[in-house]
Formats: sequence, structure tokens, C-alpha cells
Amino acid sequence: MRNSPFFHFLTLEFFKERKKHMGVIAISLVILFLLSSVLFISSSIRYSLEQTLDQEPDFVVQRIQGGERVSVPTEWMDRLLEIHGISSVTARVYGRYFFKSKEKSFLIVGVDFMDEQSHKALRTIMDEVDLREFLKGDNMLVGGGVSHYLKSHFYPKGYTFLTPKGAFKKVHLFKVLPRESNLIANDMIIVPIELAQEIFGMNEEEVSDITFNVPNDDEWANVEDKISSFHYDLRVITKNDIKKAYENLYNYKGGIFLILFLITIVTFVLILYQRYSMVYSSERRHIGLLRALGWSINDVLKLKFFETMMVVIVAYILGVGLAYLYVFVLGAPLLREIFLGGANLHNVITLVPVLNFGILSSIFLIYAVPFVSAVLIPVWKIAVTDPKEAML
Amino acid sequence: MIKPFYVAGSLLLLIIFSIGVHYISGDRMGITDRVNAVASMTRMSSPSFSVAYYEPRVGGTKIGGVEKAVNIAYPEMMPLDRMDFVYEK
Repeated sequence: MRNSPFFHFLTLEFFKERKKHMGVIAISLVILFLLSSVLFISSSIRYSLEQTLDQEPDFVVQRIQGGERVSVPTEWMDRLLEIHGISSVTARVYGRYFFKSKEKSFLIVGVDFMDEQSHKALRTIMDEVDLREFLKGDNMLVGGGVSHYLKSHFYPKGYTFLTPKGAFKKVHLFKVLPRESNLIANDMIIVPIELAQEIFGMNEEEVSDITFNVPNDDEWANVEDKISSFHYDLRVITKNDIKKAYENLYNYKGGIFLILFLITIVTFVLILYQRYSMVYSSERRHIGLLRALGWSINDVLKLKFFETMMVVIVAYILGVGLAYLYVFVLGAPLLREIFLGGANLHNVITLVPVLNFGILSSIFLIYAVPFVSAVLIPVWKIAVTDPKEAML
Repeated sequence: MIKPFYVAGSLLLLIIFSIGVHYISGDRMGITDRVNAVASMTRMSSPSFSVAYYEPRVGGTKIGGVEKAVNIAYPEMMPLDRMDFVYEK
């Protein structure tokens, strides 16, 4: 291959016609860069969320009134514990705290720090947290977005919450959660569970919902049925429901971009096809000349195929490489805002590098197949005509 | 094959190699461990998207497909069971 006259001629011609190829590579590069960037961001966020799903409890039990979630009495926990096969029954206390004047909201989550799982997790997040010191007073751990918001609104050391009972509750800002956790903790305020109940105006016998695990997967449907029969106003959510919700969310967003990409690629292919099928004198003369020199139709098609594949590969590597740099090294400025939103607190997340080879090969196929056919079909049409006619 | 072709080919291979090195040496576990730890502590794994107050935020309570979120600002609007496509900054 190295000394083959065909490949020598191919590379020579490729570099001689570089100006022509540069334009096609530039347009392809932009299309591939945008598509790859979107798919990289979406697969990275999806990967991180799928990892966190392992930490989610298997079941969540909520109480519904008028279609809205309301507080659950803690006595439900005792009833759940009586069911065989259920373990790790835990109460969750959470809710949004809304700043009406600024139209912004935080997610306040109450955590039982005496629980071993929570205690261990806190150590993983922040080694330097002194739990005794934290539990001494009314303290909170806040996400990056909350910390930034409070500081910019002159609350650098803490915040005074207004409870539904009309009382004020001053809570000291203890520590800021690390930036790496911003994907789920940006707008989060973590407080001891009793403090969260006080801020939301709940009594000690009320919680937001109850979670539990069922270690035997075969028992899930059975347990769900048993619990659903306890009360009429009860709703059971499984981990699978949440998984499906995340998948739908990203399929939807990725799908929109895929449609836009398809429209762009079809336009691009049409332009290419038109360009090659038009009376494109130099191209026609070139093919006619090769045919007159004794090249077979097969040889001409082979030359054009390799030439097009070189354009495709160069554009693909450059486009995907630039997208990787933009997303995983620079953090995808601007484009990530579409995924993270801008209606509440501004979020800046660290995207985990994820290369999904299924996605990469799909991008290549979606791009390469129409491109190659848009070039080869008109070339074949010219190659089958008489060389004299083609050179006219 | 001509010399410029080898040069261009080497540059492309260098790009692939750099991506490979960055991908392998990246601190993936450190980031996912911290996110997982927050999820484990709070028992919540919903993404912290910057969405309006009336839109779903907490996974398992209102996120797409599980429950229709009602827009309290515009009750006559169709319920939103998904995040906005393009968010208003």
C-alpha cells in the first residue's frame, strides 16, 4: 500500500485539490462538532445520574391529596416494617423554600445524621466536617448555587427562614458542598431532619415521604400490591419509575438535537449531490480524462470512494476531537445551559468524561453513508458515459 | 503516499491519542463518588436543574411520567411533565 501507485496518485490528488476539500471538511466539522457535543453532554449527565440511582431506595411511599403530595404520618413506617421482605425503612423530609421577591427557590433536605449511611456519606463528601460542631447549633450545608446566591444577596454567614407558623429561624451556613456534587446538590440545603421539619412547619410525627428497600427483586410487585392496599390516598413509586423518567428526559433532549442534525445532514447531502450532479466541468473532465487514459469504471469509483472517505475521516476525527475538548476539558460553556437551565439558580457542573462507542459509531454512520453516496452516485453517472462526451 | 499525507495522518493520530490519554487519566471516580455520596446521604438522586419553582425537581415525586406537574402560575396551561427545552436565562 505504501508504494502503490494508486495510493500515491490518491494522496497527491487529495493534497492538490485541498482547497476544494477544505470547504467540505469545514462544514462537516461544524455539524459533527455540534452533534457530538450535545451527545457527549447528554451521555455524561445520564451516566452520572444512572450511577446515583444505585443509591436511591427501591421504593418511595407518598400520600396524595387533590393530586398533590402531602405529609405522611410516621406511624406508616411501623406498618411497613411488619411486611416480610422489607428493609431499611427511612423517612425523608424535604421541600422547596421559595423566595417570592426574587422568584428563586432552594431544595431543603432534612438528614438524620445519626444514621450510619448518612454519616459515612458525609465523610466521603467532606472529610473536614466536624459533625459534633455541626449538630451543636442550627447549621446547614449548602450547594454551590445556594452559597453563591446567598453571598450575592448579603447573607454570607447564614439565612433566617420564615416558617409557615410565622416564626423566624436563623440557620448558620456551616460548609459549602464541593463543586463536583453540583449535579444534584447545586440548589440543595442540607439540615438535620428536626430542623427541616421546623422550617416546613411539620410536627415530629410528620415526614414528607417514606423510603424502603426490598432486597429480593422478585418480591417487588408483590410488595407494591400489599402496600397499595393499605390506604386509598397512597402512592408507591419504584426505582424503575425514576429510571424511566431520566431516560425519557434525555431521550427527549437528545432526540430534538438528532432531528435538527438530520435536517442539517439532509440539506448538506442535497447540496453535495447537486454540486456533483451539476455540469461540473472540471470534475467531469477529470473523470473523462482518467477513463480515456484506460481507467476502468471500477478504478474511478475506487479513487473517488477513497478520496471521499479521507474527507469523512478527517472531518470526523477533527469534529469529535474538538467536541471532546469543548465538553470534557472546557466544560461545554453556553451549550450546557440548554441542559441545565437558567430559570432558577445558575449551575456549573463538572462533566464526567464518558465515551459511548455506540454513539460514536452511530454519528459516523449517519454522517458517512449519505455523504459517500451523495458523491459516488453522480460520479458513477459520469464514469459510465463515453469519455469523449464527459470531457466536453 | 506522499509526505504531507503522513504528516496529516500523524496529527490525526495524535488527536486520537490525546483523547485516549485524557479519557483514561481523568478523575471519573472522584466526581461520581461525591455525587453518589450526596445521593446516599439525602436518599435523593434528582438532578439539580435550574428550573422554575412550579416545574419538577425532586425525582420520584413529579419528574416526567410519574406525575403531571401543574403550573400554578398558569393553571389553564397544559401540565408540564418535562423540563423546558430551551430555558429562559
